[in-house]
Amino acid sequence: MNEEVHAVVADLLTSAQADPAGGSWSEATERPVFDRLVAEGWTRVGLAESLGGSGGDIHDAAAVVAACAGSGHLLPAAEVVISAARLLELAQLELPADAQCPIPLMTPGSRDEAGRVRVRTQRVPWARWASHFLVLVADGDQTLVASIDATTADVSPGRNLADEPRDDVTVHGVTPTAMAVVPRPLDEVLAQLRLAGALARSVQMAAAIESVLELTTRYCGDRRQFGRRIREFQAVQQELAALTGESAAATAALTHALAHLPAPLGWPVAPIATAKIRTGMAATRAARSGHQLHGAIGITLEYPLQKFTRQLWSWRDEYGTEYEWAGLLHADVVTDHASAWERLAPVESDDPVPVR
Amino acid sequence: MPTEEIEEVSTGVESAELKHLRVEVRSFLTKAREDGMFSPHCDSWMSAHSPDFSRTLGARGWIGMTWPREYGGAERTELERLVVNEELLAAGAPVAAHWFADRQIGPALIRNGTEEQRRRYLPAMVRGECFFAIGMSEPDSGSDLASVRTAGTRTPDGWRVRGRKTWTSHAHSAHHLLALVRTSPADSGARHAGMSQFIIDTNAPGVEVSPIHSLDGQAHFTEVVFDDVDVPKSALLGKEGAGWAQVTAELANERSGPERFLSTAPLLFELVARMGAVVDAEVGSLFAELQTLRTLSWQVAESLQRGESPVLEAALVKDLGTRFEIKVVDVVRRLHPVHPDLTSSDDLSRLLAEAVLHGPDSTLRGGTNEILRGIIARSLVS
Repeated sequence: MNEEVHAVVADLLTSAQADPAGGSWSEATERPVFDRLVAEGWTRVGLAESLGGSGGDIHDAAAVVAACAGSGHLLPAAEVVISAARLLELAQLELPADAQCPIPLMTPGSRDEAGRVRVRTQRVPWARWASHFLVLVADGDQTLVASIDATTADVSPGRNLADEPRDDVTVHGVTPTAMAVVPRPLDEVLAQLRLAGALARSVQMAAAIESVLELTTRYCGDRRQFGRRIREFQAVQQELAALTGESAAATAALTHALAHLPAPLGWPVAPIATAKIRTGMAATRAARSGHQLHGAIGITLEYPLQKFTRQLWSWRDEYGTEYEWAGLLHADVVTDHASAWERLAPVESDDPVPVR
Repeated sequence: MPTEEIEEVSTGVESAELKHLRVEVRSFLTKAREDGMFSPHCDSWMSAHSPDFSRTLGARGWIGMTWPREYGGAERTELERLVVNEELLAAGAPVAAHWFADRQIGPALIRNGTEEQRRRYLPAMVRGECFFAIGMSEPDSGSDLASVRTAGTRTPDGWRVRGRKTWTSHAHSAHHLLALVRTSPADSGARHAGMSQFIIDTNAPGVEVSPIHSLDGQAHFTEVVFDDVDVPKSALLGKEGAGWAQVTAELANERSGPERFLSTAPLLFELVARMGAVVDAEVGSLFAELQTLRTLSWQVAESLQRGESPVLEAALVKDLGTRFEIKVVDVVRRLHPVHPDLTSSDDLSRLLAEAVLHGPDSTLRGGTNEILRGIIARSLVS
């Protein structure tokens, strides 16, 4: 992950503190923050300049997403900077200058003879903020990626546990504003998009867990009971250390995944599955420890811990729970030819089938 | 220790050189196993003791491989050492004889030893011919190591050591023991002062080693009694009174290695082989945890290579890693029930028995997990 990018974006977000009173999410206060990220080009980081991006690679994109997730701001950075960018890269589709918030849809659409695209899908992240939807359409053994003007779609609002938009979207026969072809079958492209989503959530969870650790460490140093700072109690230290371990593990799992990227030909399943599984596992434990150590103040809306924990409880289930990915990971590691250890510590390149 | 710069983004993806080394070790181990040189064991770094096998590894250059050439080492990197040790443990190979010498005694001698001590011990360690045991714990000093009472009093030629060490692994088959000894009276105001490290010959007059049978019926642990053992001046390692700092510096080496998460790996891999094409999320979760631990351990190795002493990170590896090792047992019991039996000809049954019976020790040795968590929590404050 690019630490310099992370620091700059984190500073920007700190100065744009949206909710001085803590509290819950407000669309009105977060919009200007996102607009500022867009205006300064951060939402195009990681996308090649030839595709309308600001350049850089996934390590830069991950830094932008991590800074957003660690800040407590609720923004569609992960969808735009990681998922949409990955799909645009696969399709070699250029992002128009006015596309502030492209959001990929995980449900494939259909296309009629006149070239109009239809799709109906649920729980789309940040759909109501979208400027464009990127819709996949099967085309024989290729896949079309169609860019749809979001104002032509019906969006009905929904939300996840953290109050982030998870909206239902219906596109009733709309002519795309742009289109490109990925020369691979739909299921492979969908699998790549799902990997991008899983990596994005892993980046976010690792960052949010770090924020939980920071808040909790500070609280245990400030809060006094029985005449002592609570961090001086061994029982508290044990829990705090467990939380530290989970944060370290989440970060390491993410580092492991990022070390295998960029992989323009096809993102590999095993390292990204590893990251989603381990960060998801850590999310559950970190949220549990963070709340236990904070006591009652942590469950108030006023105190910021809940922003991170409600996101963790949502993100661990999005783009596949750790249990779903764990089944896939076992399947990926088991082959007829090699033992588990030979696959976990490979000595040959085992890049997956190229997607493009 | 070599401290040259290493590549920055290396975590998790090995260079061609490292892969080449991995192939070399893996092929050797496959053949050694086929030739009947060993059968895989859980916890092989603690319980599978074979001087012959250690000598064979020494001849291949896989002991003391990071040490300076002038002392027989190969000046290879910490990551190369990690690759070799991962392979040895994943295969369950018998590495207990040389493990402590390679892991921490050698590095301690390189850090603190005299030229004479280095020349005397390191080349023999590298050949797999000189084995060391670690004399830290005592009957009344477990987690509270600073309370050791084994005492060294000055004599005209050196020190006279009197006391008792316990839980000392393999002292009965080690040539020497590196003992932490109190050389000045205990001072309640400075608990960590006044301790020194001595290299003591296990055959010296007055040294008595007796086995402690642990619950698996084996005797890897020993008790070592020093009944007025005369040790020469040349046996002092480092500075008199600096024992605590020297021991603390060993801890990152001691706690972060792959033996803190691969002890039950032979059991996990046997389970996966038995399951064949059957897929289960619990196995996938274990793989994810294992790869994460490998990454953390890799980061510690990089830190050691830079000459740092990542004590906190090492404590994290040990805490997370040993809990993972124990989880493997539960997953095997859920997915492939078999009665654990140390004498079984069925590898899964035997490996499960080894993992179950060694389980309690994994979260005790090298600092209990509770003590480690205390270290981790206090580090957040400072």
